[in-house]
Amino acid sequence: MNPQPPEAPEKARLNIGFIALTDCASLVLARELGLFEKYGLDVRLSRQPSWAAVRDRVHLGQLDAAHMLYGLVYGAHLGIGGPRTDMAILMGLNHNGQGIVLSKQLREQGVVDAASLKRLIDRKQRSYTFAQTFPTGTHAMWLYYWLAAAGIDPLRDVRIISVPPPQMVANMRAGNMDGYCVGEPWGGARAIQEGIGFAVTTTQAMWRNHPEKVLGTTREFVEKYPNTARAMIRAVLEASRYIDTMANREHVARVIGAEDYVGAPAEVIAGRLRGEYEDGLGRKWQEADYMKFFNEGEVNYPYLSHGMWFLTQLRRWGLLTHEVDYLAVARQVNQVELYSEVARSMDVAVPHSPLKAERLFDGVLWDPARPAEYLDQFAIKA
Amino acid sequence: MPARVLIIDAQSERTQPLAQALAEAGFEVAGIVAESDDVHGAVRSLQPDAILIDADSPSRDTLEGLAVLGKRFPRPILMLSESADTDLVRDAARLGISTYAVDGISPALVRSLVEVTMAHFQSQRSLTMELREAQQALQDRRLIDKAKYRLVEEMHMSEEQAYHQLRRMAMERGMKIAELARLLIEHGAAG
Repeated sequence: MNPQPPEAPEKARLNIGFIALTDCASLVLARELGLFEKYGLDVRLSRQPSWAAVRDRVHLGQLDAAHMLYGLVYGAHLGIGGPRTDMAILMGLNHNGQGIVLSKQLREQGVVDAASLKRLIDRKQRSYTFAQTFPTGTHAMWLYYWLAAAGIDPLRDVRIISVPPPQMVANMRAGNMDGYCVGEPWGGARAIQEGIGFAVTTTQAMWRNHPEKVLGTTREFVEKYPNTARAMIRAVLEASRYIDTMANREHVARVIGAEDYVGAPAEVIAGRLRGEYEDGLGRKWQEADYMKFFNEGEVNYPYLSHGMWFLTQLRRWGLLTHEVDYLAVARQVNQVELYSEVARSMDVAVPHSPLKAERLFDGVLWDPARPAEYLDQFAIKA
Repeated sequence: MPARVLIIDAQSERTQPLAQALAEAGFEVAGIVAESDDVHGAVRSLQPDAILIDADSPSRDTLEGLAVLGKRFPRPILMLSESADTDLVRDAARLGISTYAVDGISPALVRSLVEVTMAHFQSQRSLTMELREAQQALQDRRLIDKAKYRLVEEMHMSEEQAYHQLRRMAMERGMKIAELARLLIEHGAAG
């Protein structure tokens, strides 16, 4: 018997957007397993050509919600580089599973890690170009953080461009860039397979279980259709739990690999979902911190400290040009109460505090109680 | 000085007439580049005041990357100051046109740019729509015929009986005849 949600959704027919990336899986599975239907929603999933299109269409109401880059939601909420609208994050969709790839040409010049990249760039033989997927997005923040941790100033020492995920590999092959940060399957897996580059780091090696994509919508939508928002969270949470059962991952890879979804060979997707990693320099390993979609709800709970961290980075790189109250903005955007209510009713653990201190790979502690001090201690910034 | 507009579009059959319409309306077309070209380099070297781009172009994210670099780069425009203009830009987005403009360019100029482009795209679109409707009608016809002959063969009906049967079943289910025909073909006559 299907348990009925406490109250019927105010709006049942939904158009939800996604980008062709492995981490859209919980939305696809919620649909393919009939979970949206189970909770009274008739959902059409609509693949989007760019993050800009995702932002605009959520803003205009052409999409009711979408698979979105964490930082992009905050960028749209603050009007950074484009239109401003009050945004809402309903839940996290995944942790981990992105990576930074450097070109074969850099490898031939002796680059194998961040330190050797820094030495090459310091010789100033030419200019170097690195790509991310969207100026306020997660890949931009991972790339900048990683470069800066090695002493490379992403705004002054290299040239940065934004390229949509499915085009990364082609652009690298064409020699348009020296490195990029993107999510699977367009990250390490494809680049190594095609022999155009190597994976210099995974993002989970930079920040174990880091926040990445979220289910985003506008605040107006949440206020108008709270039951619909709850039903979406419920369906996606159930799908997330399904995906994190390892035995289901082959099926997940086949389903999302389809042309209408990610449009990549299931085997390329499945390997990384199983945690099988290689770096293209001869190292192969079983990754413990592979892409997670549930992790007993830890992935999905919209920690305020995660929103705050992205705000500190938007500020760090000069994208956010004025001081804001980090905690207050995160409270506006992250729908902690709505999510927690649904999670509890499904016996999914909810943490005691929405603030969590975490340490990144450079040893620097992110303490959400002290965002200003955190920002101050970075030597490289805008 | 006229506002300089860059058009990013791979479909030259619609881009050339658009460029002409913009020139007639007093805009200077700074360039036309295909999506596969170096969009980043083109925007940097041509320094347009405004950019028109297909809303479905993946290159939009490259423009977004440039938009945060400073005031000389066009930023995405989703609405203008007056509410009527907001509707206009929304309609343009629905039609599949995205507009980017530098801060200095006046809302009136952006409005005029969007109006010219929309008028142009709408006439293009109505042609495409007519063609699509004709194709759909043809496809429906084929489906209905196929389902009809199946009923004729399996249920031993006359063609006319079969057609009436299809129509009755569709009405009972509140479906179009073509939809019902598709179901019959896919799942058999038993349902």
